[in-house]
Amino acid sequence: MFQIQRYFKQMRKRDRLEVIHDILKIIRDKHNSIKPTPLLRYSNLSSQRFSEYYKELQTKGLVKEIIDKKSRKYITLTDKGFKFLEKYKLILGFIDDFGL
Amino acid sequence: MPPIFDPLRFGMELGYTLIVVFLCIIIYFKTKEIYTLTKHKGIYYFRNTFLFFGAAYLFRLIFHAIRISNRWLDIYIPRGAMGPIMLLFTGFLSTMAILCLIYSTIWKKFSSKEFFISSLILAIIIAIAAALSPPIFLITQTCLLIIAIVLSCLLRTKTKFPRIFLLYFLLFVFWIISLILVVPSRAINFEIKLILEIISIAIFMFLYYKVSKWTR
Repeated sequence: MFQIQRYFKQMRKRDRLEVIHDILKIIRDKHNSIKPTPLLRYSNLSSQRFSEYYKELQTKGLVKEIIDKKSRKYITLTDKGFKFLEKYKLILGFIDDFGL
Repeated sequence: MPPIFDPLRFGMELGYTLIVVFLCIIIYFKTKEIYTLTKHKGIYYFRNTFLFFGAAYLFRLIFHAIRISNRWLDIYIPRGAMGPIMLLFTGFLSTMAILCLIYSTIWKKFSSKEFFISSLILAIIIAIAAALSPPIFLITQTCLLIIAIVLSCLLRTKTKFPRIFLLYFLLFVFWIISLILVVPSRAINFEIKLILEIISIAIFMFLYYKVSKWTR
């Protein structure tokens, strides 16, 4: 019974902030440099949802693209992205505490 | 008849307003970083609540100062027009503050465009009512407070009822009390007024403390 509950808890839909956090964490954990395709795979999103989030992250200035000498595209975190990860728990606490 | 000018009472009113406005501004700027990082709608409307609230307190003070200025200043001020204009602004800003706080807790249920248009219309109607009749202003603010409580309880997405809602409730109760103290110019006991203002400041300070805990 508890295992089923835990399974459903794990399977629940992630909210927006959680998805953003997960994507940024993947990038950071991959030495702050990852290609778009593995990032899509690790983020566990459909390609459509991934591209929506990716655009959002770029617009917010949390990630940036780097093209190396061989013209390969990499995604890295910006300072703002690192700050987001650093402050994530505080942000969640704030949202929860103020009922937002 | 306008209230009599008492330097001590006015000084207290000035100090009270400045502290509240200062705390509102600090809360607004303290939450800037987490809003910039997340662009979270709830945080956006939460911040705006304090911006509107601070401005409402400021206009409330100006309204009060205009009312008592005939016993104090010799210069001509068109009080007949200025009083209602200040109430118009106070009504608009305080209504927007209450509506923003409601929306910050239930933003997942409505689109922000719908909310913005309807709250703007409601705030304008209440502001006009406030300018025409101060007692109607008090009644509408009280009604809005009751609606806020009911809506927040009914439409919340999370089942857990946050304790912060009690603080929000007190915040608006003391706002209405502060209006009662100024708008119909009640000759209330100095000590009672002082206690009410201290409690009101304590609520703002507690909110500020909670905000600063998460935004350090």
